[in-house]
Amino acid sequence: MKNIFKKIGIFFLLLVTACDLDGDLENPNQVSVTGADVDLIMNNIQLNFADFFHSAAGSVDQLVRMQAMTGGYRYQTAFNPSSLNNLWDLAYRNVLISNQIMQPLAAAKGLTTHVAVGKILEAYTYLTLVDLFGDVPQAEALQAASGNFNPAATTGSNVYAYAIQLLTDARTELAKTGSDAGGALGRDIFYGGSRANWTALANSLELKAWINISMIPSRAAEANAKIAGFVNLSTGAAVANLVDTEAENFRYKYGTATVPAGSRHPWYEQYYGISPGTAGGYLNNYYLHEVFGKWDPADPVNVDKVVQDPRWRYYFYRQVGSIDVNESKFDPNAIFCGAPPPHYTAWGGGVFCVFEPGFFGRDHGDGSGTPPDGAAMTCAGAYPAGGKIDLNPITNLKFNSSAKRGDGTNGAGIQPIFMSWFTDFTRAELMARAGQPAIAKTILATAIGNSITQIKNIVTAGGQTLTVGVTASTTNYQAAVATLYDAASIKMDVIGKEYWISLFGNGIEAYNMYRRTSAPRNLQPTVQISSDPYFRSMVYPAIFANLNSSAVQKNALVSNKVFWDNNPDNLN
Amino acid sequence: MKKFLLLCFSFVFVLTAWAQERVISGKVTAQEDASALPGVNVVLKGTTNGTVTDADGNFKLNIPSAGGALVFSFIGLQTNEVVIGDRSVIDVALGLDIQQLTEVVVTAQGITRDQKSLGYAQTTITSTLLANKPETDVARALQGRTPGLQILNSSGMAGSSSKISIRGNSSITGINSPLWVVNGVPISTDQNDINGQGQNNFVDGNIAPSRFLDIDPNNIESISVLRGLSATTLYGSQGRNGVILVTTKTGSSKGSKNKFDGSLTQSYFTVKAVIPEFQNKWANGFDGAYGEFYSNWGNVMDGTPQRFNHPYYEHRLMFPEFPEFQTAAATLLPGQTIPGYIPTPAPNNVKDFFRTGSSATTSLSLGASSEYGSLNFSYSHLNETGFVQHNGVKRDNISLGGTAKLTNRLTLTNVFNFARTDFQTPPTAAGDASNTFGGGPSIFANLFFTPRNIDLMNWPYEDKVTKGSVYYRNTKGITNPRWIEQNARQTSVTNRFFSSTNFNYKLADWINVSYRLGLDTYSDFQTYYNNKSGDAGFSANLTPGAYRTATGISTIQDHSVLVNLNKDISSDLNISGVLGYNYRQNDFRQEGLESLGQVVFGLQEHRNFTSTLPRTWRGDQLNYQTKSAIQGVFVDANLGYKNMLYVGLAARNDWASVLEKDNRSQFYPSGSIAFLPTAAFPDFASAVLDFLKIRAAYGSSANFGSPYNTRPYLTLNTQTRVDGTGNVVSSALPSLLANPNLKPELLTEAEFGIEAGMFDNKLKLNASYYNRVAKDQIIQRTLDYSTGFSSTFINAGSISNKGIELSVTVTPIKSNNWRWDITGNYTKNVSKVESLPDGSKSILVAGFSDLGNFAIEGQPLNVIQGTYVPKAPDGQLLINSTGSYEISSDVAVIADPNPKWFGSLLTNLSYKSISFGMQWDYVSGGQIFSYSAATMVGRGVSRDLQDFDPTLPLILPGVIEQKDGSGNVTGYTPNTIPLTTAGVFFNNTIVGGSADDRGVYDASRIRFREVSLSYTLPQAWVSKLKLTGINISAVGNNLWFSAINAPKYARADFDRTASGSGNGAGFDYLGGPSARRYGVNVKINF
Repeated sequence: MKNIFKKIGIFFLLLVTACDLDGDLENPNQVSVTGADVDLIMNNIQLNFADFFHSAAGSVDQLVRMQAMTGGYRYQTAFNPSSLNNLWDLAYRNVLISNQIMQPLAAAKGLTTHVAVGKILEAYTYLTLVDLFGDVPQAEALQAASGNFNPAATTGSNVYAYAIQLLTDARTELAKTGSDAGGALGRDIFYGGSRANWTALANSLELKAWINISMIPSRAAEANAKIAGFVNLSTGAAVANLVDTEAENFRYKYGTATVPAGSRHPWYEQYYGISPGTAGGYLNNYYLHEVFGKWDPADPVNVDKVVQDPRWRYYFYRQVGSIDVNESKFDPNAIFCGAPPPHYTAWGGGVFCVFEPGFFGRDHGDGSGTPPDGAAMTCAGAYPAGGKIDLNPITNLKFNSSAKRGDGTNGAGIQPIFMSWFTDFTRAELMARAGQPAIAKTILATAIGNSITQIKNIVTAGGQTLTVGVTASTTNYQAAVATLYDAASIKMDVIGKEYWISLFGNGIEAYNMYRRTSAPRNLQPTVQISSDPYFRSMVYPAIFANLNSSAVQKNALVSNKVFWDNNPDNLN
Repeated sequence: MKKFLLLCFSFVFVLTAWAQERVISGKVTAQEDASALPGVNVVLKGTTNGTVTDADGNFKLNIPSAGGALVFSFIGLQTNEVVIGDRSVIDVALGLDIQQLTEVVVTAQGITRDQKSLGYAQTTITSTLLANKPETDVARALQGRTPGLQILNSSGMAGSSSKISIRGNSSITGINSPLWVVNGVPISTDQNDINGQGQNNFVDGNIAPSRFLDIDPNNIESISVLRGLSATTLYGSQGRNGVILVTTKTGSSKGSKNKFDGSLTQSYFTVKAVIPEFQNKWANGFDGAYGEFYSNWGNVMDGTPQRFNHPYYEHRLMFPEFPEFQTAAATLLPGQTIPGYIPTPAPNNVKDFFRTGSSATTSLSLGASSEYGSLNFSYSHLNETGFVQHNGVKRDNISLGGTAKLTNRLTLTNVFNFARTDFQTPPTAAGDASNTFGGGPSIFANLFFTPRNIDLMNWPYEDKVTKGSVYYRNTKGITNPRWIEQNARQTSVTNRFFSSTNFNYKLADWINVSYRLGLDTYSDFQTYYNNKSGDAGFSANLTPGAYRTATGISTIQDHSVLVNLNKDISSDLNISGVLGYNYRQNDFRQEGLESLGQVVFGLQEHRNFTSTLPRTWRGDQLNYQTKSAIQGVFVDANLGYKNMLYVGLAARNDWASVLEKDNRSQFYPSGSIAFLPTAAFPDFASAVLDFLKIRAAYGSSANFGSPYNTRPYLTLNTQTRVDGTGNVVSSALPSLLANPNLKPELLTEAEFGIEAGMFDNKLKLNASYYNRVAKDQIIQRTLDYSTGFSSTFINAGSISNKGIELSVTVTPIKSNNWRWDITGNYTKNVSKVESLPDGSKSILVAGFSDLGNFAIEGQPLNVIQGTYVPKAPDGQLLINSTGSYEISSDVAVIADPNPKWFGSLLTNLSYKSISFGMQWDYVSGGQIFSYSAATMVGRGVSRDLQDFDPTLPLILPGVIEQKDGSGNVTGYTPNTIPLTTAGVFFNNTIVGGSADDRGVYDASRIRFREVSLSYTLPQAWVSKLKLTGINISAVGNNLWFSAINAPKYARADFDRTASGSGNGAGFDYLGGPSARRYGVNVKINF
């Protein structure tokens, strides 16, 4: 009997030691960390940076009335915390964490362009997060590997300081030459590896940051001294390498492939459906109205008196030439305009629901359901969405044609992240602020001219040109602006409005300017009167507010200003 | 010497036989099915004079002339005493005594034990309770049969998944489904779904079947449910959620009782959908005005022409055969001749979308036995067609099992099972009352709120030329549900082979050694497609046509070596035990492709698409492999003293390959004790109390988690995008936050129970209390992205589940001909999140970060957080300046999906060979976030709204905050702002975007689960046909239910869970209705 147990015992011992359990720990499906490739990670940073920009710009462009705010009647209900999760994901879990992995790998190999580009994109991301949310995790962010699952938010001013340092460090890397510069950045979706262009961008972003900081009285002197390092505050001339030529435009360029999804401009995917008439989403009526041209303030509905802006035919595509509800091509129920609410009459902006010739977007804060109006709505056009230019006359043509997949440049649009005319408008703003209205006026004309020319060039490069009969005159338009400028008591209002018009596709700069200068004034109010304050910053994403114990969601019923927002104005 | 003795005994027998005067003969049959019973003991009462019945159930016994009585007894059957009188032929039918407390039951690792010696709760469900079920999924047949089990389903569609949880969920984010063991070998019951992005994501509908669908309920001999950890220790970490032990007829060690027997069963059931009831008073539109909305708050349908085109006006040229489509909007010109469109109700537009499904099963089983062993064969064929077109399951099961005595000491038992399951369905992605939110198409997402005037079934659904969808919304916002039904599909064909091979070698009378090999392998070929030209309403990635195929190959090998001991140390003391080793290896590999951009309509072949990638349009990889292994050593020892005190001790140590070397070993012990006062102190037993057992147990188990969580890696995407320069861009991204220090989690459970038989066993009681704690849980913690990662696996947190399980059986009537049993089962489980990792607010279990199931310290597991309507201090709801409810900007707990308690009442009345049974289920409390209920009201289609006038104003009850100049709240005034009916029922429900708590309903529900009537034909008739038994039964299932506090006519079935077999609970996203089934079974024994 003992013998039996002994035999059994030995047998079991053999069994327990026989099986190898070590072979299953490495994931056979994925690339191991030791196989990391800096170029592949850099691709991820650049692509997700473009998506982050789009997501951030798309969140705030409703606040500055570029796209229509339709998620609710009030700011509080229009911005759902969970709708911001994706933005947070793109920023932290893609751009920033990938940078954290990529930069040391690249530095170890002496790849200075990789390091610098990583730092610049990291800086832009942090600056934008502060501009949108205020205090955000930075010092404690991205530390999950050392056990911090609840990173506390860093004050906005400290995040700004960190970002400015990143830009400084990036310039140091870019200043290296010869063998110190290391290997080139082979796949650079933005600048093709041009170190000079990246340097210009680093300077422009730092300038942008200091202008915001300069709004804080206690830091104005420090900021102005920094600003003077980029722009001569007496003449308005650039004194550093800024993004101020067409070649330096910082933009992401989309492709035209159906697969993989996301290759096309997201607005194109939205407005140019596979079947005609299935456009979705709305542009803001007021933006359509203001971009269309310079209206006679005394007669804001008379099309004949408009000095047309040459850009509107690039920005928008009207599917209908006139809002005629008896037109059978779209459902008569699609466009239902009641009487404008009384406070719209008081506002006097001249637009409610629809306006001729055939513009149909949505009013600010119209949270009502979606009627079957996809065949009638005004779509995003050739710039920046890569859609169709509007070649239709503004005479009363009932129906143009429905937007559909394949139209225009088939989605090969751009993200205007930082264009050269942004620098021009910034210089004009600085001159107006410095009490130099005449210089500001000159720079303003340059800015408008550059904007129109370069937008036209981008669309032309895509193979679309305006025909003779429908091309508005840039000179006439500049003259109309000059007249308004001369008449304006606050010059910044005119500069701001023109900058805002030029910023289609980039709500971030418009949102910053609006909070900084209150320009453009007199934006379209929400359709329903509400006592809620304007969103001086966004509510935090649900993923941050609900899963991070260091986070406290903002009270959307009070004004939550970011650190540099010192503007006492009650924005609407 | 032996031979000599034998001769002597024989001589004595012969001599005594001569002394007898009478010979009694007869036949013993089973009351249940009239089959002959071999081996029944027949004894003359008060003597040792007796015999056993032969293979045909016949016996012959010589007895003295004077009177007396015969006692017939057999394990598992009621003992019957028959007074002989002057009869010479005595035929007896013995009834089953399934709840007899001396039952031999199967416990862990196939060890058979006497029920009364168990120190923990265990339930056996025999084939009679499982057969004849209209449900083809064996899990659903267990519903209500034992306390402690909660069974939910994803819908009533053929082949849809089921979810079983035993004693609540112990794991926040890990697997909570029990282990299935068939003939001693654990099998895979995973749910693979190439469309569902894994178990925890339900956006595409969780329609893929759980793999226990491959088990044929007709071939089941018995199911033993082990609920507590002390019962399942020997199964290791896989047994931590309870174990369901299935013994198939072909794998039954009983073998065939006769030399040859067989049975043939045929069943046919009708399957019908349970759908809402609708109002037919007003039409499509909003605020009382007609219009082509999704909603149905339009004009009252009183024959008044509307100034609108016919809903199909834009399709009029394509369908000249429908003159009504030509109706254009009335013009304002005088003398108009065209009246405009007159909305008229189409009362059956939704009802007629459904067809009557059917479920037919044919099964044949054959068995034979001889002195060398036995052989059993079974084949069954199931053909089920669901209540919508293109939904169905076809299943073939072949099983062959046998036992052979190879030598005197060596026995081989082997069971082979082959199952082929062919499943298809139109997609049923989760809907939120406005298409689906995950981007996939669904036949149900927009079906139930089809406007009342849209004649879905009589108007065309496809374009004659392009075959594209045609529907009433001219912006193509909704794809016609009929188009999806015809043009989108998910299929799965599984070929599965599972077997158990067992060599048993008898070393001595008291010890044997066995080796068992379990093999479970299947290949599952799944496809998904939708043809091109669907409308918007699902992802633009899919509308150009999509085709996805994937083959998953799963192999589980399970090797066990067992040493079994059983020895009587003295006449009072018995010791039995097992020493075992187990090695189990899981391999899964999936290969798949997805193609987008269909070229020729209707052809589903990858070559017919413009692009093909190895991942889905959402980015999920279709190709992957996982491999893991666990080995364990276990010991189990049981001591029985004088049939009154039983002590069991068990322990297991596991080593798992999914954790790093230093952390992969875990030891966990268990012990149980059972004491029978009625056996210890015979005086204790009385006329009232026949039997009493008090038991206590402590058990523990471990969980090792899933593979590949301890080492970091980068996810690669080789075709992220084609950028503006035309280049295909590849990228790599750090993904999982690896945790090399991940350790096994430990579960412990204390259990106490009492079992009693009273009033001659007419009242039986079985009660258990348990307290289970899962500590240092392996949690997939969802992280704030600002940590740099989306999730990581950590050890933290603790969940407790305390509960009571009670089963009471009363037999008010018990006579030769009549028997009436009533059984009540009661389950109460209270879960609590005892602790969470330091600094955690809450952990997302399932769903989304602002609307989902969460683990929050101090709360029950799975509470639902979402937005809510803020309240004034006195509890009244706050109304905003527009007259609608305020909505919070944060989330809070809005619902607890855990039921307060649930129970079932089963009754069975039999008279001779007729038996009538019913089952009622009740669930008390719990809450559900239900789009099925909210949508019917929010979209204005439910009959609940019949009495409202869509044009009349209503005022929401609530108060409005009053503020002073500086924004401080100074008081509250009652709301007086009127809203339209649509404004109340649409805008202030979840359908119209109000706070999430508006979609929460009490889930209390009562259900008439089952009714059955069964008749066994008299033996005399059957014998003439040379058969041994015929049984006919009629069964109805899920005939009626009521969610007591939900909108009555919405008919939302809260047994359905949108999370399918995942961990989420309390969500209903329009996944498909439940089914009502009824039909007949015929069983012929020969």
